[in-house]
Amino acid sequence: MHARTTQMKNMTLGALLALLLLPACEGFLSEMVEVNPQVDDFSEVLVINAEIERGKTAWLQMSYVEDIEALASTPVKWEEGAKVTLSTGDGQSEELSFVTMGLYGGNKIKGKEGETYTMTVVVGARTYSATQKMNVEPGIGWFAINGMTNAGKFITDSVTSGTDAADGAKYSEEWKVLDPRATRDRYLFEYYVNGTHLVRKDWAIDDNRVVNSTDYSGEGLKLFNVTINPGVNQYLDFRVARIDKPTYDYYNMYEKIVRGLIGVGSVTPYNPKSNFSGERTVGNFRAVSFSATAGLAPPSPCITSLDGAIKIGFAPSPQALDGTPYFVKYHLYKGTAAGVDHTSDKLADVAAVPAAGQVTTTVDGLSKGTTYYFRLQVEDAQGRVSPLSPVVSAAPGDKTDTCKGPVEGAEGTMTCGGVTIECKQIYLDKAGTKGGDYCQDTKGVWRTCKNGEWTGGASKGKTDSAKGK
Amino acid sequence: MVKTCAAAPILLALLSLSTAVHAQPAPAPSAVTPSSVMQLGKMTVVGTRKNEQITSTDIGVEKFKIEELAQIPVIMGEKDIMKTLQLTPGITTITEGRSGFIVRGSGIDQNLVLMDGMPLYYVSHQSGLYSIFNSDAVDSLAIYKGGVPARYGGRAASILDVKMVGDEVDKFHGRLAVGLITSKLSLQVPVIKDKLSISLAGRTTALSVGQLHDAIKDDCEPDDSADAKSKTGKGGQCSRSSIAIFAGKGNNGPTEAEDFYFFGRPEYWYDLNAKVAWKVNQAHTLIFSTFFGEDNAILIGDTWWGNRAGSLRWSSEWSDKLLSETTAYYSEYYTNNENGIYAFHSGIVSGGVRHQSTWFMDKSMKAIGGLAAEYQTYDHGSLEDTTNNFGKFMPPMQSLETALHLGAEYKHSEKLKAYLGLRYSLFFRLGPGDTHVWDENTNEAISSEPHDDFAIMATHHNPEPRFNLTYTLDDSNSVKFTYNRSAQYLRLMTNSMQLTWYDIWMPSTENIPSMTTDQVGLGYFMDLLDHKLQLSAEVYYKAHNDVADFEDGLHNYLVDNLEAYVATGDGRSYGMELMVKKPKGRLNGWLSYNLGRSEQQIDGINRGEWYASKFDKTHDFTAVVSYEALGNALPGHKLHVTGLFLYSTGNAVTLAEGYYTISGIPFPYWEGRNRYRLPDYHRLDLGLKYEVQTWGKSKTSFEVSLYNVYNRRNVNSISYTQAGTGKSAGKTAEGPLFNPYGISYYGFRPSATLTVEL
Repeated sequence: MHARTTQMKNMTLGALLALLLLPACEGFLSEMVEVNPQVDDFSEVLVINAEIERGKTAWLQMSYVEDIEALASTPVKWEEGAKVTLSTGDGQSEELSFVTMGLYGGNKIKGKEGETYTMTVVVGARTYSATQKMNVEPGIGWFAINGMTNAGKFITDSVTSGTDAADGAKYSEEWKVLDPRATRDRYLFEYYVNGTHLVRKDWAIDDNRVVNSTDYSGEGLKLFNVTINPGVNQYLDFRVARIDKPTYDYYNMYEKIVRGLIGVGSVTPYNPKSNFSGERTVGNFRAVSFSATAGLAPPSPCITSLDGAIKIGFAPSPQALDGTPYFVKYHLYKGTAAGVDHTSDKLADVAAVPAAGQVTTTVDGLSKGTTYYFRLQVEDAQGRVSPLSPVVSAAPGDKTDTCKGPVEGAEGTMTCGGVTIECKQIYLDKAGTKGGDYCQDTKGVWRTCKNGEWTGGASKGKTDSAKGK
Repeated sequence: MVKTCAAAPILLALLSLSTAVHAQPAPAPSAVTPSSVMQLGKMTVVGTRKNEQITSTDIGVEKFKIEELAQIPVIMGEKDIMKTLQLTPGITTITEGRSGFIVRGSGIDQNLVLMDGMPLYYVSHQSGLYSIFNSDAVDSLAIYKGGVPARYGGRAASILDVKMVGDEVDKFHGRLAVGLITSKLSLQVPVIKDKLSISLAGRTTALSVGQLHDAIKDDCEPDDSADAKSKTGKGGQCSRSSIAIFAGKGNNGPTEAEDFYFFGRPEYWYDLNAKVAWKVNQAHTLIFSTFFGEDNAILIGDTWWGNRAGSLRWSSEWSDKLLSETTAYYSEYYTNNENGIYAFHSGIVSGGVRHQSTWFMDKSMKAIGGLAAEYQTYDHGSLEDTTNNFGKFMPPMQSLETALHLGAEYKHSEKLKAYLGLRYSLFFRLGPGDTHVWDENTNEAISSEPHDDFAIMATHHNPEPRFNLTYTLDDSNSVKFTYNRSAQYLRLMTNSMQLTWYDIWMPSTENIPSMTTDQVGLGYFMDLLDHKLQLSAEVYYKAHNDVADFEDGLHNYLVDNLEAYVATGDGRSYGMELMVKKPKGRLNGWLSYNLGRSEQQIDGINRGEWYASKFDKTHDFTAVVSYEALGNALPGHKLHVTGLFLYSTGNAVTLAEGYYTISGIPFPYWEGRNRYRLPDYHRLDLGLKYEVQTWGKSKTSFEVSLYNVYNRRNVNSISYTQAGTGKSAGKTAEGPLFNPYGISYYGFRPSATLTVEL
């Protein structure tokens, strides 16, 4: 009996251990499973995307919905034989001219606040029509780019230029739209980073779904870090327009789809509602008057100690599409203690010397054996300044040199497994949280080195935060 | 069937435990209603008629008692009564391992869940992987899918009535179990014999072997990175980038597992059931029950949600013919989230009183009448910046739901029995608050009117007739018919296909009508082999009026005009349920099959056309087998082997038929709602329980369960990758632009539990 009991104990213990070890097998994991759903054919659906902006002529682009099984190489079916007419509430009218790839452009009528516009499209026997009134621009109370702590928490004591970055920092944007409390308003937001419109970041908000402050005297709509996490060394154009509900509904769903929030397990999918009348059409026509502002994120500097001097290096200014640099001034803050901030010794308008993939500036007359701390700030032509960059420190003569190798935010080259590729932008994983440094190749794809090979997968900054929405 | 008798002790002594003591069957176990409890003298007898399913007026009812619950299969490490219920015909779930249950094609929120009379609003742990019902704390349960007695109300589809253990405790009983997922302790203590007893049952994942494993792993692999800190909200904790087998959310997408954890992120949950039973005298008993349960997880910041509930029940036996029961209860469901400077919370609180009296008029007739009133407060949420004293504070809503009910069981003859009941429910939306007239197109308020505290802002009322008829053909065959109308005045509004912890309850208002369901059912019941084998076949048709859904376009719940987004329409469900059951013996189990359909029509969805609801499953087959071995061969040792097999039609899903391009971004295009199906679902589970009598009457058992033995990767959802992006980035775009893939949550997974029972 005793032997059997002992045997049973051993069996029990053995079984428990076995079960603890079993989970190593692949069967435990959530898996992607190959499926081949067969979906029904459908009749032709016209896609119409159109806009008229304050002070600009109208444009419209038309195409047709393609089968979901279509090859990626399938060309878009543009609609190029339509008659497109724009008319205004005050009796003006013009026919938009065909340009290319389903695109039609206006020549005469320019967007004006308060005006009502009707876009009419005739394709064969079918007619589509949408009417929009251009609201007045909302106005922006303030806009700031803030540094975030290296734990990803927000720094909340913002100043107009935003709060400063900590080591290994990221940035976030924070802004206030002048939203009148008495009315129900909806807004469309657009971002441009270094001159490029991030169409995937377009989004809309209804003022009754956000945090309203009781401290803003009844006015204002304050939003935090909602769509963009600006990278280092970026110039961020920000635009906001007041829109009507159909356009809001359209962009609301647009955003969900683009952000990948639509799926069987989440909100039940539906097509963004079109404000065009007529059967079997998707898309939107909007008349928008934007308020615009900009924010600056400084480059992350590197530091090299010299004999009696310190050299600071950083990525050159990003440029507008016409080649004009966005940053026109660099300010360097210096201190002999870690807490360098806006009250520290400011070396304004530092001379920046272009070097390979970076610019440098040298601070002379420093004492050997003393550790100096530096933070960088940039300024644009309108006098807007960035928050302070992360701190870099070194003592003259201590052989510190963090400027070797690729420069954060700069162009350059990176090598992996003996393969060197050109990078439009470099991201250094200083915190070690992203699985390695990243290179944005000339096609715009973020690549990293894994197992001695370049990957083409993850895109840096892919995870947008929805906080504050 | 459980009965307590008040007279004729000699007669009762002659009756076996498996025999009813009263010729007239009661409609539910005593767990559910004192009306079914008959007391004779001082003796309480628990028994069931052999041909209970034939002679009772029950139709559309499933019941489990404590001894049956002991045999339910372990699924994912827990004996879970909710999962067991989902093995019975007509009850299913939307998605494997997710919260909520569907009864005959009705919505998840149309099920009233009662635990010792306490209504519970979210009955899941870990996103639905486990229910809040600790099997050690459950004495019995009944679920009414149709043929709902008039004493029940408030939900349109079903009533799940769960009774906790501890009404009568005559000896000390303790149980300690340590498992991979939970550890459990339960005690039943007779403080004063036949007078006062206390019962406790608690579970927690915090002390499980799985948590221990994860904690050890964390210590071994510290990750002090910024990312880890942001994920955990606590500096220095390890990240959980890996997959976890028992994780709830966060386990939804295709993930490359780098390491193994039992729990997907720092998370734990617990629940505690407690009951104090005081037999004041022979005629009166007071029973206090309470339940606490909470989940804690790091989602977007620290998040916790749970239930707090309590009830006080006063049972009285005024005479041999008149019993009464009065219950006062309180129940709260709350959610909280703290993410940096932001704090979110929402919830619902209800408190009420129910009274019912049962009058045994004569041998042929029993009447039950009563009333109920429940005050409800709805916290639709707030999001607050805790540093700057501002935020979005949704106005709360309040309501009062009342009901009068009267029902009678009448035995016309040995062959013909009937139940006739009427419930009249009256609902008030109460102030303070504003009533609104909404613009249908913009959802903006055209006009608003403020109301003071307790002012009646809206009124709804519904008569709810209930009728069951049983015609017994002979000792082993009967035909039953039922008609039911049930009204519901609050709805769970969800933006998701599944139930989530942050979904909110919305009362009927001046703009949102009450929801009603009319159901007819016809059943044929047959016993074979001297009642050892039970067969049943039921057909049903349900018409749902004013089912609700959020209109397209609602982004989250923190909007001032949430009410304006509620769209209502019609629904219908119909089907056939077949069941073959062998309830007792060393070999027992059942086979069940449901053929069903559930559809909805709501303006603004699917172009106003009828579409398959997300609760629609055409075929649903289950086989449950339990076998007890060793009982005779090796005294003191028992070996239980359980097996279950499930097959069901895949869920109705909406898939894209096409895509189009705007601003260079390809968008999927959908033609209609829920037009396609996921692949069929099936799996096999096996369980093994070895039990040995260790000393005295104490027992030690070791249970092993094997979930999804053949590792079927059932598809829970279908998504698409887009060529040239995400995981497809850098690949040559020779194939389709959109490539479908399915996501499967759970493959093969074993679990084990060691239990010591005193």
